[in-house]
Amino acid sequence: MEAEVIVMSTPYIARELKDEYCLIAQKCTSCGVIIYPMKHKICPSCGQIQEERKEFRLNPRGKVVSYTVQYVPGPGAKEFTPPMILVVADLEGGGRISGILTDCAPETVKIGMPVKLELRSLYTVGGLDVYSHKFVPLGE
Amino acid sequence: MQVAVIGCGMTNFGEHYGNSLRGLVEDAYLNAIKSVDKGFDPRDIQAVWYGTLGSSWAGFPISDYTGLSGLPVSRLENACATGSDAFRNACFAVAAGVYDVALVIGAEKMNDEPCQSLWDYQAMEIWNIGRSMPAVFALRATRHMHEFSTTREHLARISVKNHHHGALNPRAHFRFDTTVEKVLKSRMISYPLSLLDCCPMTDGAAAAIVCRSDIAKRYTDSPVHMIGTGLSADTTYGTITDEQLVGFPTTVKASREAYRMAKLEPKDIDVVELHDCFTITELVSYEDLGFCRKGEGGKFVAEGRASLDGEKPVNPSGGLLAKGHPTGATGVAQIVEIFEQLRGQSGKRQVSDASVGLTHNLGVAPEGTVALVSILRRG
Amino acid sequence: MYRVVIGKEMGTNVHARALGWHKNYKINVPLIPIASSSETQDDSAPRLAWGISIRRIPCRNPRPSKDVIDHDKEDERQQDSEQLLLPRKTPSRFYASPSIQCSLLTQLFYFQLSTDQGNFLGIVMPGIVGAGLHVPTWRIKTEDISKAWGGQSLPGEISVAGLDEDVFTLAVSAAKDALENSNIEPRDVGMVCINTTSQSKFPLAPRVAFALGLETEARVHDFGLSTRGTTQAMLASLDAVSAGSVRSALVIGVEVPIPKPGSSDELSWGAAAGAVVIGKTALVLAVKGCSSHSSAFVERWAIPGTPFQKETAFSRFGRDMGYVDHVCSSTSSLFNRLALKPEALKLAIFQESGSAERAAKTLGIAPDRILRTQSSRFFGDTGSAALLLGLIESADKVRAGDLLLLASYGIGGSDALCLVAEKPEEMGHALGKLRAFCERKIYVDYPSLLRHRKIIGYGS
Repeated sequence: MEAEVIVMSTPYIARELKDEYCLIAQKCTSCGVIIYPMKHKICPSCGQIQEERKEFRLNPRGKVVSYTVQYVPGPGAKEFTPPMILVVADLEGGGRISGILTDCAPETVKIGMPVKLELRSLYTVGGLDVYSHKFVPLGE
Repeated sequence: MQVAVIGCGMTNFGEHYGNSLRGLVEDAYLNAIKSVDKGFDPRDIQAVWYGTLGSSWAGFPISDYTGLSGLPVSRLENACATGSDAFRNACFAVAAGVYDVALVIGAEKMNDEPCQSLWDYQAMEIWNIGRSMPAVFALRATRHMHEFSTTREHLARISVKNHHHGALNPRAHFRFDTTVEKVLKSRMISYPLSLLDCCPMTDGAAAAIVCRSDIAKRYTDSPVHMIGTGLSADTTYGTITDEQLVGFPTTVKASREAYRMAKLEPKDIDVVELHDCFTITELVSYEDLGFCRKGEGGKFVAEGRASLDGEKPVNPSGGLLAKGHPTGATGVAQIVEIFEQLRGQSGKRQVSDASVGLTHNLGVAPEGTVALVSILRRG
Repeated sequence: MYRVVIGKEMGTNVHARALGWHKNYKINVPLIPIASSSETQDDSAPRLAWGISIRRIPCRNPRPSKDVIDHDKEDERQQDSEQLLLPRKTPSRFYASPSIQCSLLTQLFYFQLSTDQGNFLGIVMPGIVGAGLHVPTWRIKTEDISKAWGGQSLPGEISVAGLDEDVFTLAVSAAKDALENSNIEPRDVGMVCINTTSQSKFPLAPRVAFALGLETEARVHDFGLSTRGTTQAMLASLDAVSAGSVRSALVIGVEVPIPKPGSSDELSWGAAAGAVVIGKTALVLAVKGCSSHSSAFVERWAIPGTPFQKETAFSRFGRDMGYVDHVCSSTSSLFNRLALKPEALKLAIFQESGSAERAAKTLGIAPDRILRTQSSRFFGDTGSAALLLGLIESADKVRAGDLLLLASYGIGGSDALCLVAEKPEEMGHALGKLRAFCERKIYVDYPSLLRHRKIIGYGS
């Protein structure tokens, strides 16, 4: 897809800055599930209304639950360097996040592998970097 | 529900650079009218439901293309389940007695203007910027292979089967046979899915005409009755469950709702058109639709149970893999295939003695999934 | 529980007063001056300043004498200040586990002998509480760079930032590591100083403060334009901490360099980030003194319209009038101020070891005292981060009481700091991580290097 996809308006980035930079998620006051990203007034899992947003700081360490190695870029991947590894990981203490696994050779990814979240530049829009987190392998 | 399908038509699916969206809708519409056994006067149509993902907007393009100016036209979108949802809502209107006869059209032109809404929707999550649609399904494949003894060969067999059916279908996008080895060796798109594990970007349109069951005899002696429908949407945004990683719980819910409405069970279904946008989707759908237990999808296809001559023929049209996947049209095209199968009009890919058919349409985005199941019975 | 008071002079007899036991013990071993005021209190295991030991010697006079200092009583302290020359602020306290009350043999604390009299400034000295670092995974062998330009095979490798990394992400990762290693809560950090000579699109310090979760009123200082800025940042932080304006400060040196393709810089500049936490308590290394030397001398400058730098064609001129002159000036000024002899240094950490030998020779520092860093061997010349990585590498090369020299250089001048080791082994975790970074790597080729540095690419 050659089209320039402007995926994020700047207000969206500004609203989510704290959550994205400091890994602040939300814990449902009723069923306890960890919700990330985006602030939710209603729990997507049990449907209970959240009277207040119960903040939960994500532990950056976790284990891979599923992965894929993407060889053909999707939209927004202008600086794409195939292959790109996408994982779903369970974080210690709660939270199941899907994201990009970087600085890792594709042959070494396995389910159960320990990973850690690090601040990285996700993409650039009009010359401005949008930062959030990517996974990196934790090694031994 | 007392709704019958009395006519169905579709264009060939493929890359129609020489045709426009208008041309595709016209062809599908006219084919649907032509298919009505006892003849059909377009003036009988009282309302239109139009499904497209992003190829046009609002309903008035249909008024323009079909010459049905002035009629109610509702435009629908529900990810890749758009076509089925248009069909479902048309059926509701007829079942409610508001209309006697309604038209359903699904259309998509994916190879012209970029299908902007489809791409934007996926790109919304910044954590996964650059993720493609195959990757979203590949995550399920990896987990399924890890939890059960599913292999890439199982997935390849599904591709082989559906391409074989597609070779028998004159309307299919791809009309070639392939082998397990060729599938495994084809270009890797997103591990473990390779090129032949994925459906193509197709242009096409399909149409169906529905009416009250008690007036169906006016149009045909062999109508096909809509006896059950189910729809379910869920979210994977903010939290993903274990079930959502190895299947689609929405398929389970939607199919149970449809079975209940039709007072049937999975074993009663004779022919299936399910949403095989990727081979893994078909594999987990065997399980989610209740044809086998969770984890046994690989065995199901390896034992030949989903083939044309098997106990539960799946995707005799070639499915999305071979027939093609114009996103808005797919749901309606599945209705077209089941309509023809139940009336014995499917030629070389006819399933013998099919009296009950099921269509399964699935829309998946990173944020969630939506599944729609319809059950039809020979009248 | 024992409370031991440490005095100044060598050979001082120090009276220890046991809390609750009211016994006096005379210590008959020579002491070295201790600059820290580590207040450790752990009942489960003795946590004492490394390398300090006391032998319990029964005292003939069990009654409290006027020689004993009761720290709860201010006037007594005043009275005996001549004899014991105690610091007026909170004195050093060492607590031992209650179990030793039961044992015959007491906990042994060893005082190290020093051949020189250090310079105790008489106040609680600030210093480094902990350190951290972050190095990208990617490397390129220098031979792959030189071969791309038709040159010879040269040994070595340098670190390269990933496509999704930049000065901001490296700085945040290093700072998080330093905070973890120091066991400091983000809200106790009142100041962040960042130094880099690499490009940044916006001020880094406020963003780093935000990403770490510091209080919004924390001071945020962006130094820059010179690798020397890192030590200037350290000096500013030490002052702020000493003055009591902030409880602790974070100093980060980070580089994601874009050297000019084909230049010699391209063969040596590496990407990395180091961070230290400056504080007053639980120090790893205390700062005894510092000195600076600045001038308008310039031997390298930016090429306008490009992200690249160039340096003077007269390389020995640049080296001698630049590096050697300034480093020697600042360091000898430091020696004078502290009445320090070069032999007293256990370790000298210089910016960039190439010209360091020459400077060391002029200063009279023996070559075996110069720190040969693993980071320069495995990551390259990491500019603003280099000295901070060097500090981490000193963790296993000095013991409590050893003196270190830290001498920076960048356009504009040099700073020299004298540090005394207190608990250098507590930087062991950071050192382990540094060694892991040396081992864990993925190599790229030259075209990938250009893409990683965004010299070629899809554009943004």
